[in-house]
Amino acid sequence: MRQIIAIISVLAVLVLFQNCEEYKSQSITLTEENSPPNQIEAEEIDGVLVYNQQCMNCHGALVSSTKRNKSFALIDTAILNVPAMSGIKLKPEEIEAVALVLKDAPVVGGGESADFQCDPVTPPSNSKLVRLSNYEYRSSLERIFYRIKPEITQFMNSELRLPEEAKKEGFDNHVLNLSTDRLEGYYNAANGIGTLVGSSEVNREKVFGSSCVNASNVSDSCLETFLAEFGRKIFRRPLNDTEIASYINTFKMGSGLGNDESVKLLVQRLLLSPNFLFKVEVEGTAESNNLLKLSPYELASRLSFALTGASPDDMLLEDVAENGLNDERLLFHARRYFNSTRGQRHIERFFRQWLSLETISGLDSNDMFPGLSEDDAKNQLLDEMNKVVNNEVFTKNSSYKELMSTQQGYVASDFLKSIYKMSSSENGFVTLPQERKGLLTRAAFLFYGHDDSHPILRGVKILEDVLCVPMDSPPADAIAMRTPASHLLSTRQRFTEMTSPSACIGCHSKINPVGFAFENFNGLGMIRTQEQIIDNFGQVIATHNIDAQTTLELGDDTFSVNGGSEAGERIAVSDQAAACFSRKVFRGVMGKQETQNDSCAIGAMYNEASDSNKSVLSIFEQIILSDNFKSRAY
Amino acid sequence: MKWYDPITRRQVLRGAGASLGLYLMPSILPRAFADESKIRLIAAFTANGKRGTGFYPEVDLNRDLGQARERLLREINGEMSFNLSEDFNALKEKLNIIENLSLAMTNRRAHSVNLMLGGYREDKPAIPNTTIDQILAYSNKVYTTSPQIRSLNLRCPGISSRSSDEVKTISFRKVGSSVQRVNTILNPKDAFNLVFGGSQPSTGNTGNTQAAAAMHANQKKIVDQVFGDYQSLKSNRRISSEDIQTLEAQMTFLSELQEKVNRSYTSEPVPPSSSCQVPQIPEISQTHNGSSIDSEANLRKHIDSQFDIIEAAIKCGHTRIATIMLNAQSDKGRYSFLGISKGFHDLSHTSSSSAFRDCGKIIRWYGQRVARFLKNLDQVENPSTGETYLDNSIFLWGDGQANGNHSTDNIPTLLAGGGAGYFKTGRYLKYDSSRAYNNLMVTILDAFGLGPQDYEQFNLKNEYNPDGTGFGGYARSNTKNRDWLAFTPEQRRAILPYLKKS
Repeated sequence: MRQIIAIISVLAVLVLFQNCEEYKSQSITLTEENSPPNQIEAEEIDGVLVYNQQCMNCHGALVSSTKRNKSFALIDTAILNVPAMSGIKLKPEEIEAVALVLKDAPVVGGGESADFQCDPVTPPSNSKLVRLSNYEYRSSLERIFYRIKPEITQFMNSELRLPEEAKKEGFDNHVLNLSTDRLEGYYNAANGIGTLVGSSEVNREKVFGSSCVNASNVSDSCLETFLAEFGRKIFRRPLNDTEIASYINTFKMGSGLGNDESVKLLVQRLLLSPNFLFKVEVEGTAESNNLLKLSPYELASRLSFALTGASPDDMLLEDVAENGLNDERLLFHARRYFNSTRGQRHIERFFRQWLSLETISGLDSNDMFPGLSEDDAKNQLLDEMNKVVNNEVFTKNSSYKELMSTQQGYVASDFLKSIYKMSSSENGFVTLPQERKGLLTRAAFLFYGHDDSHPILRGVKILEDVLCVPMDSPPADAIAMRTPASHLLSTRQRFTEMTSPSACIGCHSKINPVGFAFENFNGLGMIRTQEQIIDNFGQVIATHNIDAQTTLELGDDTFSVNGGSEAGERIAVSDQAAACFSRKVFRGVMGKQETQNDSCAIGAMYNEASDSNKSVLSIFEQIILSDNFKSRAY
Repeated sequence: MKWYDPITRRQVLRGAGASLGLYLMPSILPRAFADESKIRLIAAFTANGKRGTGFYPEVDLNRDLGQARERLLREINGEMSFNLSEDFNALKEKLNIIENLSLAMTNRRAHSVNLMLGGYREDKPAIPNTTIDQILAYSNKVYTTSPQIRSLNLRCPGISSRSSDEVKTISFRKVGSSVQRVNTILNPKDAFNLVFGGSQPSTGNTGNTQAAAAMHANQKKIVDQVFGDYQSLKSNRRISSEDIQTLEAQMTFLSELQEKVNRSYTSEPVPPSSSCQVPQIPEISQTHNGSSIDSEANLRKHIDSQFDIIEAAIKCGHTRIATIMLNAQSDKGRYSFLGISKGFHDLSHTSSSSAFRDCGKIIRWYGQRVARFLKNLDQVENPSTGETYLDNSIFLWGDGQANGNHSTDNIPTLLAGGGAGYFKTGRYLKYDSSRAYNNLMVTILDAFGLGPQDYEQFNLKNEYNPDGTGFGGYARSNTKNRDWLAFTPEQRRAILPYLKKS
């Protein structure tokens, strides 16, 4: 018997390793015949290692490389001809190894390509079980407890303590960690809200929607009615009979301690349930292995979080209960949300996160704007962007390209009028000068709180956020590697000099041209034609005319532009930017990175984004109506 | 209800830790540890670096120790340096000013909050790291029984500075394969409630006591029921294996919550020691939630209140580990009350004598708050020996960088307290050549009796142990002399010379 087990074990091991050749095939083995002369033993070249050492800084991690499927010949040609790659010295076999791993690299999405290969049979990418983000948690509580809104709002402003969300690409719904601190925050919030609802007869009646909860002996029917209505708001689906019975039991745990304790316990448990804190999607129809078509309630939940950042409102829940949620009704509710205040605030928020505006700086010094607080400055900048986005997207129903090349601004403060050099009589929406075409020339996007223009930061921001070019962090010794540059030079001259070493130029050949195009704006977002170099004693020691002439590389094309407005407009109409925006909408709505499996959905969104006759909202509608949105792979 | 208690996960969590209190939970009166002389760690952070010329005493180092030189602080007349004002004069015998400690990693990011207690930078640590305060907080060598608060982590808002997008903690805890930021408490009232409870326990009223007991029992049941809700969801066949891991992580945290709920409601109050005095409930005019303060008086009050709560928590034995961020990660505030019109961060990047002076003024001001705290802590703890609480503590005043240029070379470091007899004190110590800042972390851990097995993530072959709870940026760098892997294990494990009492 033991011998049989041993044989089976050996066979099992052999079966396990029979595919190892596939892995080996990604490396080139140098035999004695083709190895360099003084190489005695055979050596394997690790294509992944070579890629990581030589290519990753500019082209991103292998799994999301922008250069997938590049052949030996293409790589070899690029090394010979692209100036930024002149510092790369690779042997032919190393290039071959890199080409092989680029060919075999798994695709996990990302990248700058507008080439979306749609295979309709491919299921959507997997969706993990995720919790509500802090924003969604707060918004949902506001919606669920709207009958005692002032009290809930006050509670959340003064008592709610949740760990901050980590952000990825500006979005706060991608990295949803769990922790002891977070759970305790939920516990304390549930405790506090339970107490808030339970401790007052008025609040109990408001939340229950009936005075039956204030009876000395609360009936089961009272609780069943409450759980049917209120439980559905919290779980975003009706509670089943077992759950209702269990929650009635929780209510009765407070017997003898007063209705306040019973109500508190009930609310507390509901708010700590995974069915509230997590986006649970398990009730749909199985379409194939590990692929569910979402139930109408789950779809309603996705829709609400995607377009309002909150759990579904009563109207949607009622409609689902009566009619289910077909495409027509889905679109109806999507458009209803677009017309709601909460929905519009949410889309404005998407734009702020997409363009990384929520992390903009305030003023470093108030010498120029005495009396203006830093937070006020930031709020005014964001307010303008919100107003412009709202007007373009919701009032004018603009296309993506129209939005990205709009000349409209909104000035409601002396601060913004100073930045835009508008007269004091101008108020509200204004048409800005030619140099201000597009969202990328708005003060909020250009602002760093001081004069310095930060072309490198601007370049990286546009490449990453607007063009989806993955940029890795600078190497560890970037500061040590840069070439010293005279402080008498202009900003552009200085950064050109500093980033000239071969170790830097690979990435900076992409970053610098984009950032330099916006050199006609200082770090406050003001138009400038000259740059003054000022010493520590406030004396002007050099003056330079601004040079914002540069060449942009967009897709396979290059364009000569002069200034941020031209650059912004050229970027706005590029396929690469439209593709990137589609990816970003997908990420913002779905709360995850796309993969190759999402190409159909993003491709459909891209068609809308690149069509000047289609509105920004239609891009959002495309994702809502996609199979990726309506189903869950797990 | 049987609690979910996977061994491996709990083993991992045992080594990690964070403490955010249950603000709303009733607390108990202070109680003392069995051995009151046990060592504590308190770490205070200020941002934007300390210009060396303002921080180090401008004196000759008159004693050659071999690989370092030193000067006794008592030999310095008057204030020791511009940053360390006369407020520190009474503490000279209790301090160690250390020069020439450098991060053994290259500078990748400007304002790293993890440097001070982790010796690494947060953006791209090669290996997830736990800061030493959290290693200590979750070490069963430090706490042989479950403490009321493993670590008390507080922060202050800074002056007129925006900090909403900055990292608001200097404490990090590895959980599984990720590093989590340990939450910090901004509002002194919340800190007070965590340490001392929002209200005193009721006494003498049997009816109330019974009701309170029943309510406490209900809280335990609620957490039990919620746990059952998670189990129910976990058993759904449409939950993927990855999702099960998510739910199990939450269930582990629920288990920890249950422990806290049980402890909070079952602990018997112990009379406080004579030195333990509950401070006044802080009266802070503004409720701070990421916002800032606009006057010197309010800022001082806020910082002092937070320090008072740490002091009381230490003296009452509620915790042995505390951290406090005195300002924001890259404080951009304008300290107009010091006659400074430009933002601190902006100034820290300016190379002019006036900027140096202005930065120095700001650090000096914060130093005065630190000195006040240290003097309050320097009260007799053990009447028979005369040891003070400060003598039995290690206090570290640090930063996220060395100076305003984001350098991590020569990080100005102030230690206070004797570490319960571990440290020689009263000295300005300058190493002849740069020493790894991580060795300061090792030294502090050594003072607590922790060895490599308690914190290292690597074995002697430099093989990474994913379950390790270690700290430090053990990453390979382009610069050889900053490459941690170029250090031998013995070098990585070394304590700093000339600090420990022989």
